[in-house]
Amino acid sequence: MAAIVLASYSSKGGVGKTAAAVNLAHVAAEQGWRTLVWDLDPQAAATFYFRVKPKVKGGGRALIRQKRPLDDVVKGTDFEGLDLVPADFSYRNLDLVLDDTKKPLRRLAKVLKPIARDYDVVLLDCPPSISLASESVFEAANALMVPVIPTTLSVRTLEQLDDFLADATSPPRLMPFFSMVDGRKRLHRDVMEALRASRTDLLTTTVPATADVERMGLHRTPVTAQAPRSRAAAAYRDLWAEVIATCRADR
Amino acid sequence: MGVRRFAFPEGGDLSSLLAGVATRTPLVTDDEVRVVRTLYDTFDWRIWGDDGLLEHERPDTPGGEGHLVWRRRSSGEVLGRLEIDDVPRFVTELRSGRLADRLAPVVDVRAIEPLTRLTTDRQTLRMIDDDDKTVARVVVDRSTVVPLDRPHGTRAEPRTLQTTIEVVPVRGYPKAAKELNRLLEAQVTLRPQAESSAVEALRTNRRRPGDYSSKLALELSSTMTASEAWCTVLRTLLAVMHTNEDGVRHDRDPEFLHDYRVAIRRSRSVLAQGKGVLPDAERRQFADELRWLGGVTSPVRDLDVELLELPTYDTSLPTSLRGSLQPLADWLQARQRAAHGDLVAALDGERYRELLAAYATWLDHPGHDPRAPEAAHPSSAVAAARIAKAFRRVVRDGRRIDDTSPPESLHDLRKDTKKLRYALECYGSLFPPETVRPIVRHLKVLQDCLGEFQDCEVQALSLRTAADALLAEQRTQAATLMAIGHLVEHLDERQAEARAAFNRTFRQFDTDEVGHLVSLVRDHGRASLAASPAGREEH
Ligand SMILES: Nc1ncnc2c1ncn2[C@@H]1O[C@H](COP(=O)(O)OP(=O)(O)OP(=O)(O)O)[C@@H](O)[C@H]1O
Ligand SMILES: [Mg+2]
Repeated sequence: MAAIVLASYSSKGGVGKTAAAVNLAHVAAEQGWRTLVWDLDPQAAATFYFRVKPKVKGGGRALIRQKRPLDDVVKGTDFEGLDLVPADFSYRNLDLVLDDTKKPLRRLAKVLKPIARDYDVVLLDCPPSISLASESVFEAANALMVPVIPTTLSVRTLEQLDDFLADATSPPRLMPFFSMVDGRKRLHRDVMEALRASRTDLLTTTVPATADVERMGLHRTPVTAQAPRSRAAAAYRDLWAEVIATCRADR
Repeated sequence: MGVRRFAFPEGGDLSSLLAGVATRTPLVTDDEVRVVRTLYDTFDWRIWGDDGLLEHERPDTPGGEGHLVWRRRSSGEVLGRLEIDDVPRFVTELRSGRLADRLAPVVDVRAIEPLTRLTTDRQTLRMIDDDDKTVARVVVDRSTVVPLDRPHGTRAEPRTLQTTIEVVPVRGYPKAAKELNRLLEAQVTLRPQAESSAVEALRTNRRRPGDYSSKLALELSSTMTASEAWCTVLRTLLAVMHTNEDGVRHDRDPEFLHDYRVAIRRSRSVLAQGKGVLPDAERRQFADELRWLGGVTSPVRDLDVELLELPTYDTSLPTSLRGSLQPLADWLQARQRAAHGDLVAALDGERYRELLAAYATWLDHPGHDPRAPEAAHPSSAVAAARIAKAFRRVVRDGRRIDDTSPPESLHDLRKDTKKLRYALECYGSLFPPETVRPIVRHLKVLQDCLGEFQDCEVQALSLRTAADALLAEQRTQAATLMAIGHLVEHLDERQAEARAAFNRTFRQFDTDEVGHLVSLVRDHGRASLAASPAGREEH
């Protein structure tokens, strides 16, 4: 059976995409799913968290043009059952490389296909943009996990994504969830309440804003491994349970 | 690149060896952990047979989390992991996920049972790079083993196993593992070691990997007389019954009873075909007793089959009715438990004990009987004649069936095919495999069709009976009855399909090719008879 492909995606920066991708991947692997993270962001945050060098021989072009199979560049992380395709600075030109292929939108799915048999879950950590590369991600992914900071601006970003996907023929399932939530903030509570009332696809789990997550950069380790009993770790475990249950139900 | 394994000699100085390696390359030593590892497999080694090892690992520390890990036996590759403290008997009871999904088709309905337990003191040294990223591991295992499969009341002494040193590569960092391999290969005290301690532990068990399979392992010799061959087959089948009896008594899983019953049916068939070979009075007496025993085991098996069908039933229902079979499941479960109680009572009874004792004695010394003129004939001559006869019956009865024939005619034909199949399985080793195997292969297709035809009918009937009973006991809801109605309809359709496929399936069996193969078996038998003293006398 081919892997479930999940993308951590938002066109907005700094909302917790990478934190979600890294921690959910760790939780999935810990529960026995053979998991692959592909860090598609030239900023290489996920790669950094896993202590891997942000370098791919031949760069993004070799992977996208299938001169080099993904299989060749996979790195084992420090965690059993969790592998990584590292980021590379050349990924900043991914749009150009894609544009130069026959069916750019199908391309990512095609590149993933041979390796998807070796994994149960593939997590794509995306850079913040709407581009050809993100459209190719939408084609490849079964679902988009979209972190939403409960502010009016983030909510608008989500609506833009709705509009954008409305034109797609077979859009991936949307899984928006609240990220970096501060329960003490009135605004957060109000926005969450309003949004829950207006849409049904929101996941019930919310990821709190905590110092444990912020410190991931210091430890270079998923918070679910570094502080498994923390509130944030518990939230990512709940989030994973929800995500995987929804994906399995979709199959 | 796979795991490289070395054996560390007893009495050697491990810490200075490791310290030596650590001077050459940056290694971080993790705290030593003690892991309690329990190895699991089905009674018939399905996981082992699939090149796997299933192991539960638990750190021997308070609050340590256990994992069930499924690995490739040859490469050590991890096929699935699951965090779990207590291993359930059945894979279907595992939390759903990769391990459960993928292991289920391997073990099917069999229970996974603990075989042996190791206590391993494990030291891990990690080779790291300048980002403190682990790029390869050295794992040192010192294990003792306590087999879990001792007979009741005997005490197992713990045994110390070979200390192993493994170099475990991390994907994408081949140079690091190569470097470690090079450093360890240079150590004169180390020898390469093929087997992991888990495999070594299994080999010290009382039960050996692969020592039971539901496939009959019979190697008859053509120098045997018919009487010797028949008794050998029957003794083997009796041994199969003995092997499965404990699993039947404790209902460890449904396959024990299944294999036990197949051994009974095969025995009855062999006894019936032993007319003229074995002393007649005893032959009839034991055939009768085995028929009784078969009958005693039937109710449990019938209920087992229904219980095993339930998950498939459920998925075949329209979504609105899914899950509504629970009252049926409860009802079947209760009846199965009661029937199993009756079965155990019968197995504990005088009649069964006497049967086993008398039967075993008789099989060792069957004696002579003037009404068994073929006893001293060559085994292959008699076996060939029996196979040919069983084949003729299948062909005769099958050809009589047309579209107007009643269901019973197909059921009878199914019995004929079983007799032929048993004969081929029990005496097949006396003939060239290239003759016997294709006959079995063709026969199987026909049997599958006839089996489907009958199974659908039996299952539909059981479901109707269950519905009536549930209704009478007022223990059901409309949804359950609707679901059962739906299933019965579905089974009727399937049965009709099998009926429609029969003519074609039978014609594919009733061919010159199969007929020729059977005639080869018959000729083989005639030739050995002609060459024997018995044959020369007759001419
Ligand atoms: N739940 C949280 N609580 C506190 N801080 C968080 C949380 N999630 C993320 N952060 C912090 O916010 C910053 C941005 O997070 P992250 O990198 O996960 O977002 P992103 O959406 O991937 O960003 P980018 O768009 O730059 O890729 C990081 O410094 C991270 O440590
Ligand atoms: Mg990011």
